[in-house]
Amino acid sequence: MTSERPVEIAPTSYLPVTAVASITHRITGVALFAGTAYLLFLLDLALDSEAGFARAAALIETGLGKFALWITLAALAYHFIAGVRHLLLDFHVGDSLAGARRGAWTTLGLSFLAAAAAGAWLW
Amino acid sequence: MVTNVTSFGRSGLSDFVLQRVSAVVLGAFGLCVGGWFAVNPEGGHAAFAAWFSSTPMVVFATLAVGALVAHAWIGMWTVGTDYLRPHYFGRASTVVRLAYQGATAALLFLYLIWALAVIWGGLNGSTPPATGEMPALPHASAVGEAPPAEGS
Repeated sequence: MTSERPVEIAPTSYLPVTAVASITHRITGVALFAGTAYLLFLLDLALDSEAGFARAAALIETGLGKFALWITLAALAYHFIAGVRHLLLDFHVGDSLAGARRGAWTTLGLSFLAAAAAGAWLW
Repeated sequence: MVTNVTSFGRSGLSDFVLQRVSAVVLGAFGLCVGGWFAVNPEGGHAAFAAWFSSTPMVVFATLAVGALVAHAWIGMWTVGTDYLRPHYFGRASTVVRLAYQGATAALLFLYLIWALAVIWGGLNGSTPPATGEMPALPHASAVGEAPPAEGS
């Protein structure tokens, strides 16, 4: 590709809240691609037997196991809330400039609360 | 119409709709499972397995796995095509992107097989959860037990 057309706006020079919400949706999505393996692992153990369920329960009591679950749940919460916002935007709910900024802030705020709630539940 | 040989539905419009439909399925499934643990914080294996192995949940979970594969592919593909391109990777970008897409596809296939084995249960000799309380699907049949006669 040697065309002279502009490729992109340098993201470091201009990062509105809507862009933060968008890139976070992507980052949490990729994180969940890995987090799925962890959740599936826990589900596998929990369904296997009493001993397996106890192992899964013990795993999420360890520092690393609990943190991994919290990160996964926090990513899931953000991805879910941002996804709901995306569906609303598809129906032209909140897709004005001001509305999009409000929606982005709301998504970030609600996700922060959800991540805090997940942390409180786990610790 | 814009098409791409590596997109999920061979068409951007198809992927657009699939991404939203699968999102709704996954969102509903996530709320369902998360809700169960919220309502039953001390659930334990027997109660959880009995609930998760019920026919409606096996069907719902199977649907969710299909939705997950489609959703994850479309999402990972979108991210990959946005960043793994000549602007950043020069002439290697096609190779880099194909390797990324290949790894994504291989992992999704692993998730698919793994998840179906977990949901449909007992494929590798895992023991069924508490006897008696479960519907016939799917663990009981895997160890050769006759399903409990219902309604007789």
